[in-house]
Amino acid sequence: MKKVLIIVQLLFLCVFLACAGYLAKYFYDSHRAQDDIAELQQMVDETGKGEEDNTGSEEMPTARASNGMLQKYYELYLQNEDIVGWISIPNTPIDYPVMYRQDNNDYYLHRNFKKEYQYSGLPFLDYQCSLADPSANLIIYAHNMKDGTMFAPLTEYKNKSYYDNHKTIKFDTMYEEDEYEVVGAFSTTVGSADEFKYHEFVNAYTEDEFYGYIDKVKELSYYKTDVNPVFGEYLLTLSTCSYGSSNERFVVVARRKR
Amino acid sequence: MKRIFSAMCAAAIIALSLPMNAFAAEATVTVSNDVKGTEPKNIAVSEDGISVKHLISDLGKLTGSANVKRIEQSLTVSSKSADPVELALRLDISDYASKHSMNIAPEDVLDYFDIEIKDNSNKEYASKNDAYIPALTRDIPLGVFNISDINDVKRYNITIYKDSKADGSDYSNAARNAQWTIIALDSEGDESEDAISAPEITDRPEITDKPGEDNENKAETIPPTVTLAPQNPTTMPPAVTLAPQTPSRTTMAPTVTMRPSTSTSASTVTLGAGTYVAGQDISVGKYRITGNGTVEHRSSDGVLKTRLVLTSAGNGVDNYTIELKAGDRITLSDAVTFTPYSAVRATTAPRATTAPRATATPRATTAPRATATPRATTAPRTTTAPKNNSNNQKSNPKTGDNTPIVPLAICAVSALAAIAIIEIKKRKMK
Repeated sequence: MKKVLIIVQLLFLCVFLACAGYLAKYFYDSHRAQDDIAELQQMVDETGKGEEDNTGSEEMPTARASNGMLQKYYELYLQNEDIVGWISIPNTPIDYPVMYRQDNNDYYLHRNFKKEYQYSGLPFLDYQCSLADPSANLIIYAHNMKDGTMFAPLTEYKNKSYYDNHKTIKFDTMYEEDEYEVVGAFSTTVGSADEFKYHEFVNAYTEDEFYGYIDKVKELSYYKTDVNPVFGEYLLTLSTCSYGSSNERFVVVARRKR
Repeated sequence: MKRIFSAMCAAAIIALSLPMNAFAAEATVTVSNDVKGTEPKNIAVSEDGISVKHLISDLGKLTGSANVKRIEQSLTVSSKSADPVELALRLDISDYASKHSMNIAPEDVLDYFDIEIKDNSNKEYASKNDAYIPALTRDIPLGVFNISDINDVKRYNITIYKDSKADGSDYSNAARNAQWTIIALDSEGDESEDAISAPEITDRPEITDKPGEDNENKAETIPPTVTLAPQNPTTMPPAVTLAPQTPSRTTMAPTVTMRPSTSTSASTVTLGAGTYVAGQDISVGKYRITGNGTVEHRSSDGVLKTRLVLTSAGNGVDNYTIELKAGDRITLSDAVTFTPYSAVRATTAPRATTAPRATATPRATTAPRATATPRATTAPRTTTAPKNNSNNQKSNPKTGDNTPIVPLAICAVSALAAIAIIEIKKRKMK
């Protein structure tokens, strides 16, 4: 009997070690990912702050590299040319580089800035979008990580009060700093009968197409905003998974500030 | 007497060379528009210039989807130098072209922009209709600064037009990445071998195919950068005019009679120097071409599709695959052999367009650089995909975190609790 109890104890110990080990690895990877991101953020901050200190005048423009790129992102570009911008929402943890890979929406799903495997990945621009010939709608995806990183805070936009305090989203390309104001936030389930295929809207060739998209966004949105995009304006769509149901996506759509 | 004369000549040469050498090697330059400016930068001949791309406010709209065809921008250039210095506006696509494959000839990218520059006294530095030799850089001289003053300022009114023929995202994608800098030119006025200043011709001639005319005798355009072999006197005369830019060119007049092709079916044929029309002089279809010299392939409305150098001697491309459609023109500077592919698509009827094309045909086709190695054609780096994409898995990635944190935590705690309970039981049994 005693031997049986010992064996059972050992089995439970194995189970405990396996679970604890898995969780430890998850949080260790999460910590390392956050350190990597912090390093990138520091590079951007230092470059931007350094240039501001050197200008000596508030009227001087943002410093640029010799190829016209914003200097604060140029150092990152030299490390990885897949970077196409930087997204941040003031007063939230969302403050990340945005990556891009031609014809591939999977590459940065689980890769870090050094292109090593990292479960949380990085925010990335939909392969259908173009910054050189600017798409009407830039779609950026990122994970909704359970440790609260990447686009996890985005789901807070379900609440109107959160929207009221976070109306502005910043998305800088490598050349320009831009701000966007939230138009709406909604959820949709991929593969369902009433799925809203927002991820297919990249360019609006007609007013009908544009306003059709905006109308649908507003129809599905958790609340109304007073931001009404006009045909020809540029949109930013942030997409992440949500856990309301299987295959559900949570989406925030914003319009570039005039 | 001879010695005196020689001495006078030498003195004259020295005296004449002095002003040229008196141009400054560098200057401290700042550039600003009405809103923002650059930091002062020392720019010297053969060194980096000062980037002004961000000062041209609406440049992105010109290369974007907003259908903007013209923008205006004023720039003020200040130069501080003890000696005269000639500055220029340089457009440069070489960096982008070296890192990205394009479906268009890199040398044609800068044709996206037609630039007009005048100063406040209406002196013209560049005209919209100026013709440029295709190149990866384009320098537009802005005049000589600091001739009589250490601090010199000039204000320019720049109008940039989107060239009417430059249609398609390939062009705009590439043009968007052109660098715009102010550089210092050397005393010869030409800093680099690639920089070609505007030639004297200012108006692009129009080439129209008029009914009844023998189109073979039309002057065809050979870019001056190309070295041509002597033209075959039985074909077209080697006129040197540049391709027309106006979209109103007629392509194929309705009354033109398509002559029977000299090769009635696609078969191997060797053509000498000259210009040939697909469907008339050579059958339409896909060919592998080999031979020597320059090959220029234009569509029926004159849009450049491909320009390359073929050579059997190893200095160019060994062979190239080309697809000729009815009305396309192929210009050769030397003998080239056309070997049809087995799956040749032959058209049985001549192309009959009754109206000019309303929009310019996108120039983007396979257009390798004229180097020894054929350039692989790949899609541009960023592109807009078709709107309807039914592949949800690819275009709407799963961005959830599947880690079962809570179940694992419960499991771990439960296992720990079980271990503890069993330990207690064991001790009671003792």
